[in-house]
Amino acid sequence: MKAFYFAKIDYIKARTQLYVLLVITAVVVVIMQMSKDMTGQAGFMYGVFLAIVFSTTPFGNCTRKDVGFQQLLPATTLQRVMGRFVYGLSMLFIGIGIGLVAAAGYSMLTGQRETIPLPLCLIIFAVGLILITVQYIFFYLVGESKGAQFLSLVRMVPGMCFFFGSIKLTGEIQKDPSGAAKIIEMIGGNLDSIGWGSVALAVLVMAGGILVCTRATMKKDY
Amino acid sequence: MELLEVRNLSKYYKTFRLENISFMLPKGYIMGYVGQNGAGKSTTLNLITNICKSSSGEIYVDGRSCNDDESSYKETIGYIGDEFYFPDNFKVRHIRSVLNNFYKSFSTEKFDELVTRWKLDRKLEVKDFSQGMKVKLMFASVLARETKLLVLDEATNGLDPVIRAEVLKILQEYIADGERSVIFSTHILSDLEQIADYIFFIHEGKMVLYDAKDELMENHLLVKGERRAIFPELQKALIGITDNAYGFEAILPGDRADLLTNDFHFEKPTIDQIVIHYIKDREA
Repeated sequence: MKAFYFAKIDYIKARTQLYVLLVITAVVVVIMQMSKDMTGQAGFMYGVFLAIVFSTTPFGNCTRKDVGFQQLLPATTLQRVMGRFVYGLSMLFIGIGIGLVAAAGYSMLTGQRETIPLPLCLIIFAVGLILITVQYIFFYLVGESKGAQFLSLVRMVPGMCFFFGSIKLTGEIQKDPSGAAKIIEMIGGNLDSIGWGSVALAVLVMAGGILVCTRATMKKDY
Repeated sequence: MELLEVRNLSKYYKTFRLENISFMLPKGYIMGYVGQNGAGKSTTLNLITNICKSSSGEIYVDGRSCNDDESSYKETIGYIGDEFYFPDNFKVRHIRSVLNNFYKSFSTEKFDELVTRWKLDRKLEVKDFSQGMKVKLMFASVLARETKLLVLDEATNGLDPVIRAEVLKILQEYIADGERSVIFSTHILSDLEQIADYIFFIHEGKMVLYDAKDELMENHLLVKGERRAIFPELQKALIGITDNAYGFEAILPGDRADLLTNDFHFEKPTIDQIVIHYIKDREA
């Protein structure tokens, strides 16, 4: 339970960001409607991109004294670290929510009905979760409060790699569908299994990440 | 009955070593933890609150060690530092909500009462609070729950005399039931003279003096006189000899008072004077 309370602290600290996210959702829908290149799927990916970027906010607005305050609270290091991951995971759900709202908004405005397949959603979720975990491991190893100094440099990189990488991949598939068709043929009817498998893998990576981050911070001074 | 017990506490940094600190603080007493900047005061207090991890040694608060049960250990401690530790964009209601989530003994009624009594603005973010308001908010957050030990790290620095006097009154009320204690580091030694029962004096990471305040003041003399009157045996016994326009001034342990002749004046020193002369002696 205390992990959720730590996530709550992160939310209170980053509450302005949530208002910004709402504004961004509306902007994304408008941009998608105006752009011929963007699709509902791109909007969905944009939501996850936002989640990956915004999940690092607690490190960006974290000072040494903030960490000290959290250290004073009666909880274990594992609970503190889990709290941060709960925050990251919930941001991912919010990002997916924004993506779905953006995709739905796009469909309403353009009249084009576009469904996003569940396996694709699952794979994107898994990639997002792994990227968030990798970022968190980096920031915990660097030091929570020191992370802010690096944050401006590295914050956008994983999210951008994800976003532009997936856009590029979609573009390639559209250009030459035969390649994708071959892969799909190879996968056969296992697409759902791959989707769920990737989520399971991501959860394992996150669990490992929590342990690594806990070990990294257990002996640290604040 | 001891409330705080520190045994052979050490902390090694690249440029600083806190070495073998040991002391005990009984229930119902206030200890003044004094020393120069960088002497190891904050390090010791941060080790007690477990913000820092010790290299060796043991700390017990009301019989509990942080290694046994971190959560219940931290429940018993209230910490107030010279630096305001709540996140800048928090409001009073956020702090109330977070503390209520984490501390079993946190009383929202008591917290609200203190916030109202001290006229702390509920609408402002805490970064916009004055220094005095920040200290009061930290006190409200600590006094609204059942703690056993209050750890104050230069908490009265930068406060005006009226608020400082209020803080000292709060500390005296805190220990009044005889079940709770305070460890208090400060540079304002006159504050300690008013309220401290024990003094622990640390210099360059090592203990110099540790005694009941009254004993400490009884067991030292402030000696004044002409420099040329000092004879070799007295020279050895005097601590922190300092020249001034009228001759010299130094501290003499009470058990060496037999060395004083009619050439010297002596009086009861203040804590300030004892500390300053010991520091001068160490630096000489």
